[in-house]
Amino acid sequence: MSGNLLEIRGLSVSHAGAFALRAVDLDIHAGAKLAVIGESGSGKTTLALSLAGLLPPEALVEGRVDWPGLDRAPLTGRDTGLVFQDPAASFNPVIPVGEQVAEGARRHLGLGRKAAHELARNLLERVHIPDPEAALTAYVHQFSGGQLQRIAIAAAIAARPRLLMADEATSALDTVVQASIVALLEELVREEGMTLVFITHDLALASNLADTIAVLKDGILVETGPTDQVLVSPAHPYTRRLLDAQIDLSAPRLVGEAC
Amino acid sequence: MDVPLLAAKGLSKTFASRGRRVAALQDVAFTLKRGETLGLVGPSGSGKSTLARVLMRLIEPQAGSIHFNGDDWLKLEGRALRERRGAIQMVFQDPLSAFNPRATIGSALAAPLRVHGFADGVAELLARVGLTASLAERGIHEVSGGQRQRVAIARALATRPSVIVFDEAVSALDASVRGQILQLIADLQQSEGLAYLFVSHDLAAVRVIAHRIAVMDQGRIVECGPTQDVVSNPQSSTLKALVAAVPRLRKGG
Repeated sequence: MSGNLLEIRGLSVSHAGAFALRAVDLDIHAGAKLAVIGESGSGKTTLALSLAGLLPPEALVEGRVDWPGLDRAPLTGRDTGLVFQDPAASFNPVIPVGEQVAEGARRHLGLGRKAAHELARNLLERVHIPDPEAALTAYVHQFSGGQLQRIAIAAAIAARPRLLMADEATSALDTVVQASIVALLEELVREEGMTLVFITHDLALASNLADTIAVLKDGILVETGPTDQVLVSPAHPYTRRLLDAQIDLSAPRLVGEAC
Repeated sequence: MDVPLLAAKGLSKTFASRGRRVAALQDVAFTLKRGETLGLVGPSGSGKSTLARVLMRLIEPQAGSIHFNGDDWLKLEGRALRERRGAIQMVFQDPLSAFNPRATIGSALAAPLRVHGFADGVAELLARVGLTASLAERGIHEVSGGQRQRVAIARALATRPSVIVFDEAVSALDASVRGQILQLIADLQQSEGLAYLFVSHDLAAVRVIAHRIAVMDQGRIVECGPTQDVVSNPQSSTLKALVAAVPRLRKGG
């Protein structure tokens, strides 16, 4: 696969005069695994919503987002799948998850009730939900956070989008579950040939998943490059600061041994 | 001093959940010395937060005892409990939902000072957590996440506790802020001799701040020891999984 799935040119988004994104230029290669790194208020969610066509109507948008391989306007859910931080808030609590998982496919692929049911079962199996048949008729509150995030991923890929975006999709999960969700995303992207945009504040997590890293700060894209290059020789001082702030198992300890 | 500040023994708590009985705590014991941090790690649902809440007297266990500061902590009732309760404070993951959303920073800090009859002021508390006094007039929602967590720590300090329980207190913070808050927590311990129970699923953060680590799984402490020993040579499958799950910065290859 080659070429760009997406070409973002001079994209600015503002709400009531306050800029959330400023003049962002970014190419996303088809089949890429792009990590967008940003802290609170960096504009990373606004970027995801822009690409998914989900910006609120009052947002002022300048610039362009082109899909070179697409001869029509991109459709939310059909061409883009989105996974958010809180899966419980992404589902309707009073409708069985099976119906919701297949909703995108029914709408965009025109599947009938029976075919949609079959697809939902396959999708739940695909994201490794145990006993998918039983899960179809279960409700949001019956799943753990990790399971629910798997189901949200199943719903996001139901219409076989080219672009899967995960916005802090693992941040609310404990580290063990987080690792399993990252492994699932990797597996799906590899096997389905999707392009992944993985939005996170966690540079270490991104380094294990992404081939490209883009760093956002205060709505400005301060650095983009291959993962190894950005991590080994960051061009922007902010990226360097983020790298220095990483806390892993070799970080200096702040206390002595047992007192 | 060899007598621990706090000693918990035989703590057990079972919840009924969807017709099943879930043992959130099973015969849990631990000690905490003055000026010491015990890190409590474990996956979601391992019982960490239940243990923290038992310590705070927010949940009553079915069995067990806690000796704290010369008191039989779980037996304290009414006035005696109210008078001593400020000695153990808690800092939560999400400070936004831990404060009255309409409160100013000043009023949120003034309330515990007044209730517990302390004469020191809001400005003094803010200074101890590295914030300027001018912040007192701002609303809780008007400041950054890091500043808000500093205010939450200041509020915990207001009642002059000897123990502070941190429940995932740095987990939701941006990476660049997380280190600063951990530093503040360590500095306060140094200068004030506080004991901490630092609860988190984030082993990397716990390793940085804790003298000792206890590992919980399914309501039991499955492993416990000095931080470096425990992390560098995990024995339980629970801790091995937690060590393996810490995201490592991968550069090249």
